[in-house]
Amino acid sequence: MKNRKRIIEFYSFCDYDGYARRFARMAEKGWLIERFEPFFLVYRRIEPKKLTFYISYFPKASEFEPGPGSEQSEFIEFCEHTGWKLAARSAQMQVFYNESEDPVPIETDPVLQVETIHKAMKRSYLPLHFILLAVSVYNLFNRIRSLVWKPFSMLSSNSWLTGTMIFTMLLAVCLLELTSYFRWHHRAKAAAEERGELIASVSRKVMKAELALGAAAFLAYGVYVAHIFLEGDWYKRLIIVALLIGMALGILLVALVKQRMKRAGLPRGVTIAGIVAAATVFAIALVSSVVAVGVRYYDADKPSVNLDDPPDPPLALSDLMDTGTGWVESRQSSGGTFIMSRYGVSEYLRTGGERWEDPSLQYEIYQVRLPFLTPLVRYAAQQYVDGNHKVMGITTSLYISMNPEPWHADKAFRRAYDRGLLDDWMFFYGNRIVFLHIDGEPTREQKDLVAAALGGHSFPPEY
Amino acid sequence: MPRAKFQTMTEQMFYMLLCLKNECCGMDILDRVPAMTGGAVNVGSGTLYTLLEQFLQVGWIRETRVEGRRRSYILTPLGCEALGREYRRITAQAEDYRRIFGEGETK
Repeated sequence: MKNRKRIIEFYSFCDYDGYARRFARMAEKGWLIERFEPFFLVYRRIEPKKLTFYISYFPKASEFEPGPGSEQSEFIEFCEHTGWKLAARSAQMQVFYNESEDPVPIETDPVLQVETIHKAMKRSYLPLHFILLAVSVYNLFNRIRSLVWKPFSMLSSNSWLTGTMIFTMLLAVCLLELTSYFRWHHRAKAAAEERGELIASVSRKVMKAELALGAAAFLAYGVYVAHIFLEGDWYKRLIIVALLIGMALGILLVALVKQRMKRAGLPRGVTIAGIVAAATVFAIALVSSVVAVGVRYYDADKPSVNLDDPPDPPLALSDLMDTGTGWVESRQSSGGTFIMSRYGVSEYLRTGGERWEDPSLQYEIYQVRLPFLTPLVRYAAQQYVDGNHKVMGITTSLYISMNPEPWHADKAFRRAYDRGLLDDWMFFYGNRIVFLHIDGEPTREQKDLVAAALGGHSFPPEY
Repeated sequence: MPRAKFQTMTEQMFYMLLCLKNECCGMDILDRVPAMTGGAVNVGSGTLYTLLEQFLQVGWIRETRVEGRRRSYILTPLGCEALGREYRRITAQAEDYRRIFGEGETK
């Protein structure tokens, strides 16, 4: 018969009522909370009994201390004197239980109790959530900036979409946690001062909402990983496997270092320094290994398409010109999200001369997969065209509007700069945005070919 | 109305300071307060710990002895003064009551 049980519990750190009720229920079933581990709680078997639990917070305690300091030990002794036994502790949280039927509570002054809880929360819970909030806001700000600057690349990028979703969830979780805490604090302070009572801790509904957001983020990441595995090349698979294993090992390493250093009785500062050093060395080693493997084995000239024998592109350099005795170097890439697919082709006619002088054809086709989003994406594309000439306030090049008729397009634009026109085009074809680089002034026949191949209704090879 | 810190005392503060007229440690206070009040007033161990810290900070009590983890305290003249002020406030309230209802009335 097992005498220990490990359970993952989802309670907010400041949900003292939720924890107390949960521990009391477990004690009635014959399990007493014994300790907090990084990812689960450990219960030990006891005779089933009715116990009263009390969650108290000791503001001076730290997660990184080897054990209770002298002041906390004095506090624990006071509690033991009134029949409260310490069952477990984690950071500033202390779990006490009492076998008496109607014990004197540990806190008998609600005003002081709210003050103590707030002091404890200011020690690590609130700073941690503010840091996560800042990280998610900063990350989302950069992602939105990228979206404005390169809307098509971002909307067709799974990593951008997954990352954006995860950081949005993180932002929502932080906002939920912080607003519910401050709302509780405001109401609890008023209730304690005006009515002399302590109100219930933050609602469990908040944690349930956070769990739903966490599950959505987890699912999004799962779909992303699955997508990489199914459609990515071996290099992307290697990176994702290395990062997944790396993250798991990193978390285990940090937990192990913390546990060992605490057991060794080292001071709080030394333990924190040890954890930071171990995490830094590990992160550098992991990233260096992935980069080293990539540099050693990755072949940039290998087509990035996930087929051994890529199909013929819908439009090839040989369709537009006589390639003579030269050979065509061709690359294809594809990808996309549920919002937008991306298909790109680059072809160079190698003639043996200077490579930069070789004729080339490059194009990228972005196709909106959700028809109702087409107007929005076209609006974004128009914004992109209108605002493209300025990057961080510096004038670079711009797209100017051209006659779309010869291209059989809805709209046509050509890139220009202060001395003239460039060979880069952009077209709107229905739910597609096409970027094209074609050398020189295209002939009427070439324009017809481009329109048929890139603007037609049948999208190039399915990926 | 929010209670201005230490402007008026709670029962728990009052009886804790009364106990500290003579040197005693935290655990003595936990026993003495209910004994002194016939169980009408109880001080929770967490509240006791926090109040002892706050009394030390404002100079109402001082530490006299440390034996292991057990610390003993005693009331300072400042604490005595605060206690006296609270006593006068309560007495004034009792006087007002007597003036209105007369001696012995418990209405």
